[in-house]
Amino acid sequence: MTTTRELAFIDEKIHETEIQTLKIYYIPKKGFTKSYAILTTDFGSKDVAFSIDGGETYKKYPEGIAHFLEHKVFEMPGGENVFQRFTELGASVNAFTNNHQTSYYFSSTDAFQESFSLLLDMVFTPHLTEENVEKEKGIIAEEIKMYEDHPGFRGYIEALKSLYHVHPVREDIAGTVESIYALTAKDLQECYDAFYNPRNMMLVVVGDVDFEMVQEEVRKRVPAGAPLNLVKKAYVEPKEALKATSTLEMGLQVPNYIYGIKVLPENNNLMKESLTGSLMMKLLFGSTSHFYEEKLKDGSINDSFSAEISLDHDRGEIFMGGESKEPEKVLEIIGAYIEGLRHDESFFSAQEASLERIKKAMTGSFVNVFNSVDRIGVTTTGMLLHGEDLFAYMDQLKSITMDEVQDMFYRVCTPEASTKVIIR
Amino acid sequence: MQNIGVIKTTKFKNNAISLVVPVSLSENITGYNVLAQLMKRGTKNFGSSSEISRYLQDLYGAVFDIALNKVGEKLFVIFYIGFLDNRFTLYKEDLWDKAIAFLNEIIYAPAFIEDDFDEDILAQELENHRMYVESVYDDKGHYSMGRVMEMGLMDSVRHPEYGYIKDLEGLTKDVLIELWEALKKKPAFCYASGNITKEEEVQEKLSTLAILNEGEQKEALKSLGERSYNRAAGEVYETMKVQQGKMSLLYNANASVFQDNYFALVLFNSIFGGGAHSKLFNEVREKHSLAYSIYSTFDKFSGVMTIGAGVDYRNFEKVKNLIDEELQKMRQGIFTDQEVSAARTKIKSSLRSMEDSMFSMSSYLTALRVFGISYTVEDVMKGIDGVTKEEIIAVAGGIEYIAGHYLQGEVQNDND
Repeated sequence: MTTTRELAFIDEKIHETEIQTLKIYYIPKKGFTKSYAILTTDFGSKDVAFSIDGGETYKKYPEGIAHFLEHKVFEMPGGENVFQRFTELGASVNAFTNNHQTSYYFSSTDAFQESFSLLLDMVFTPHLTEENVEKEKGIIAEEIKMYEDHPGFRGYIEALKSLYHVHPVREDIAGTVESIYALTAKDLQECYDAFYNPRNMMLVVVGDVDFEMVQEEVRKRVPAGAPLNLVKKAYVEPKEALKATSTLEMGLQVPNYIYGIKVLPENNNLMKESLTGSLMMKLLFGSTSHFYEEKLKDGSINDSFSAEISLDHDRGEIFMGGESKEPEKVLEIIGAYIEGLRHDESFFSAQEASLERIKKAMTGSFVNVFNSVDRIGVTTTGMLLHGEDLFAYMDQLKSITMDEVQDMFYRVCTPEASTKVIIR
Repeated sequence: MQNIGVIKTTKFKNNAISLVVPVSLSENITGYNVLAQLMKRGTKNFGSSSEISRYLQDLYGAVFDIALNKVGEKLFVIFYIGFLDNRFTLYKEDLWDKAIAFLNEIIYAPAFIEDDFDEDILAQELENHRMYVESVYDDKGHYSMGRVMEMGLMDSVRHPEYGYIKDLEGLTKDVLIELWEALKKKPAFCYASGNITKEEEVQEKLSTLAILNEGEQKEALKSLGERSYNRAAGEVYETMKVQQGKMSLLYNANASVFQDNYFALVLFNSIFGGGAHSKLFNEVREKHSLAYSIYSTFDKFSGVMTIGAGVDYRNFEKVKNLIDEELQKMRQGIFTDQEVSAARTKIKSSLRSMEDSMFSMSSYLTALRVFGISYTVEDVMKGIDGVTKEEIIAVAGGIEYIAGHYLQGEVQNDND
């Protein structure tokens, strides 16, 4: 049965149904040339230890296995070149793995049904052999090394390593050259069987397509999922960062700096917590904040400076970073500013007007997500995976008070949870 | 007006204005980079970049930037603003006038021209640009590609879009004001996209941007210009602290958007190295596991083609040989009709997809206009349909290797 919900204010709706145990969401976009489908499994780089019998004895797999499997899902039985097939259909196909998900997607202007069937067949007919797994190791090793030459990426991983004691989010999504050479076709098959169960997956379709057809193809091509007894190992992180400081040498001309804070979410409303966090970051460090205006003016920072927060159910991070010839100095300034705010009782109450202005801007940005089928697909998937209701966004945003922002600041922005990373 | 284009569509929640001022790459490119940054640091009415941001937030988070893009022999200085359509604003306010007035303020009333302008800000932006140029060196693939362009080309296309550190020295306030004056007199091109019912009304509003009236509307370039290759450049091997080798190869495509063989070039590149369906991807990555990323690309306005790959430095020669073999196959016509038809479908699909992005569509059309090319997207699709296998072979035959830049690691460990 399909249910439909409308977001009248921005003239959008979402249809939801479940077929063969697979949850399916369709967001119609009449008049768009491109259509987009994204099929996701709730399996990311952090899921390296799990049990499939509901128990608490976890089997541990090499780091990078979710990402490795993503590469191999593109293999078709019979050795058919799936990239070539999608190209023949005029579709662009790709995939990504992050900490908590693996997603396969394509966009097409014609022949949506054929491309969509191909995507389903590709994901639901694994073809893992010792030979094709070996072949992939060289390619992924080059991918890992490519990222190792990227200062921003290295800084990000280094900051995660400095913040976390045990959580596997501290490992590179792709693993290491050593870890990927250690994994086997059998390991991959076990992970495939555990996570590529439609009960553990979701499909989002965006564009001007026939939703009946989508459901019919799923009925034909997706095997109904067996009962799921999957238990992912949970990790208990201390509140404190593992290291207060860290430096990485890459031989850079211009050093990068990152001020990271580990955030352990407190309540179950992840969307509200994320929105409160975003408001807090924009208020304190965004391009309209006192900090930004003052520090840009005195030359301490430049427009490479950015401040972001990202939250998941079991953990989250704040990162402030940029490029500077004096990275230690900038990190000191950020630390001192936070410390100052912790003792400045009038700061937040004086910012009510800014909070309203920032909410207005965030509303506009949210509305703009609906200008691109790709962005709608990725954003919707991300929110649904986190159990967040896309259509509650506006109301949640409106409801957040300055007191809530202030409380979050006091709870989250502590020196103990912070780390300072320099890449030079 | 000829230099104002309008794309009418109601499928987006926002509207956008993209104003492009092309500057020659042989001009003071470094200066224009710094000028663009300075123009973002404040205006007469918005005292700082934060003031600008506050105003944009108040316009429901309007998006604004001044971007610089290298296109053929030109550097495009692009003023872009995207803002919510009045169907979605809280009180149905119409933001067109505000957006146009904002662009006027940015272009005509920058803070840095004032007598009481804080000189420290100029010093900061000079230093910021120095860091920006230096940081390109830290992005190894980008750096290597920049190097091969400088090695193999002797005309203005060799210059990177961000300019040179040595040119920062002469950038005084007076010089920057001169550049600002010069920018305002250049021919400018504009596209407005979105919920536009009365085209004339928007045209009229846009014509309040004086740059669209006053710029000396010179004849468009309409030709490939003079390409001058340094065929003696050869191969340069450089050593740096990298985990992975980077190779960048430069070719004279002997084809461009100004010539009849353009559509064949588009197909050639798609089959040869233009994606996951291409020969380079399948041969070098899928068959030999030698790379994660390998691609070929070209600039249709300069006729320059490049190949970039990240590979283990020990495999440089092997990969170069594979590239040569694949190019040879293209020259000998060793590719199937199926490969041609797949590439054709893919290219046409990408062209059609541009309709779903205001920015892609206006960028694509503006660039053609700047260079005096009258193609519509439909013309290009028709052109792609008309290409024969023989024409692709002919383009492949004309691809001439010019130079190669290879970046290898300092610490060469053999245990992986």
